Amino acid sequence: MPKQLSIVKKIFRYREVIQNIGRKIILPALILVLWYLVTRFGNVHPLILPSLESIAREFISLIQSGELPMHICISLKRCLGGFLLGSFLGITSGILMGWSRIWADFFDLLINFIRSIPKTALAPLFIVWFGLGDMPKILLIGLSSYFFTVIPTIEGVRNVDNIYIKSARSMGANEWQIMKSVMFPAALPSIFAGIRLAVTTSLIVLVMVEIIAGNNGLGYLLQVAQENLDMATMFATLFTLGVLGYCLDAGMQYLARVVMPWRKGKTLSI
Amino acid sequence: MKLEINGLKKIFINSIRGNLLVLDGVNLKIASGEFVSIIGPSGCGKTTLIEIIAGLQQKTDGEILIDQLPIEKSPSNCAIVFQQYALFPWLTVQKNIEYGLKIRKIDKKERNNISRKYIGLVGLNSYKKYYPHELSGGMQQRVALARALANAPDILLLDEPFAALDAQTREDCQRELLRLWQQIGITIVFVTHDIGEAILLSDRVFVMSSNPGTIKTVIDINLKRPRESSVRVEKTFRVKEMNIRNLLNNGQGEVA
Repeated sequence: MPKQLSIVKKIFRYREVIQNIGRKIILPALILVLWYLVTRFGNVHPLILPSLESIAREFISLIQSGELPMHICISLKRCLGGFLLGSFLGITSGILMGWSRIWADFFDLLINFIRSIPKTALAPLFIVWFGLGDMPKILLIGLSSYFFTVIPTIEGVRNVDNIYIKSARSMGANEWQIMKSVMFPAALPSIFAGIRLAVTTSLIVLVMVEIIAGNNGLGYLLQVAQENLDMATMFATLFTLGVLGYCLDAGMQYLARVVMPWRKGKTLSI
Repeated sequence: MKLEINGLKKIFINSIRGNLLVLDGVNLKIASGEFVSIIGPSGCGKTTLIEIIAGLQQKTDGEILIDQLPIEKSPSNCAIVFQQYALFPWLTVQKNIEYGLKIRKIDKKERNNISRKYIGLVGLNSYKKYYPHELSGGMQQRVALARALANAPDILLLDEPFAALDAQTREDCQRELLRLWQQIGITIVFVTHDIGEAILLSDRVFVMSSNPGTIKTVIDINLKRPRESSVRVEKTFRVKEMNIRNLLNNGQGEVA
């Protein structure tokens, strides 16, 4: 009997999942239909809006030639490299600065000064310093990820309820143990808010730098498409970037659920 | 463990609003295995007193002795249970109870044994994999109690532990606490503002007055144990209750 019950439950959950996907897909589908109708029956020049078929054809041929996968790999490597570097440093130093006023004061001016400079404005400087390779791109993405994670981490640590710290201390925890076993998990929700911003912004910074100074990567592909007025490639690349960004964000949300199982059912967020 | 406090004084230093004398000349002696309550008007320094005993706040002056040894040098330990439960939301019931053991680097097998024992003692066997927010208030407080006891404290300090619970659950928890105390034979210091609760549970009740906080009177509760909640209608119970109520009211001046 319980086994049958679980099968029934599974079917219900299955239906629920389909329903959720259904709701999410309506709007994009409508837009695609509209696009199709406009390019097919409207009098739009293909240089402004190419037909869906031509984009799909271009997309498939870009994949088959191996060109698109190569650019994706190059871009993803830079993006993830910078993101991981920056958010790791952001989270660790954020915990330190949230915990100790002394460290926070020590870094305060520098951090808030550099934070106020748009990362895009630093691109020319980094290109002069580090050349046209991966280095300046990874560093710029790292810098942006750092700032997106460090501030929420500091705030998260500072907002930890004192009662948890008292409780841990009363059970004999020392400062290091409190930092590890209380501050860090208690600050995780706000750390993850920062991580989500950081990962999406990584893609933005990446494409921007690749457009300015790339000889490969998705940004470079866009820039070449612009020069050749190759609208099919341009839209195929934009589509790829959209999918990539969506997947990165979904990945982070999935990670949040895995790392913070206790949040399930407690808040609206997960 | 015998707990003795002599001339305890606590001043909150505040350069803007001026220093505040919270506790002044608090003296008390608690025998090993005794159950005592501390009762007093809100703001009389009950929580400060208990947090000083727990080592969470520094005393300004005076001495706290456990078995004649100053608390700073004493190998025995105190566990504290707070009104807000203070369970870690990111740990399951079992992991919460094992927290203090993990801090003291007790190996996993031993930790599991101890947590199983105390989860059983508070009757939450089937909830060990739950997170705190999935439990009711009464269950959360039982977990907090189990977590404190798992550290095998010599003295258990409870700071208005049942104040946030509804009347029904509170009575269940009181009964359970008495049962555990009789079973384990631990010294308990119980802070409350509920007169009936203090009399029902304790061997002795310390009545505090405020501004500054000090022990005003000690009242012996000579009711036989084990006590059922029917003890509340006995004459001795009601007389003591009235007695403490008058003491608290006088301490507050005009307030009726």
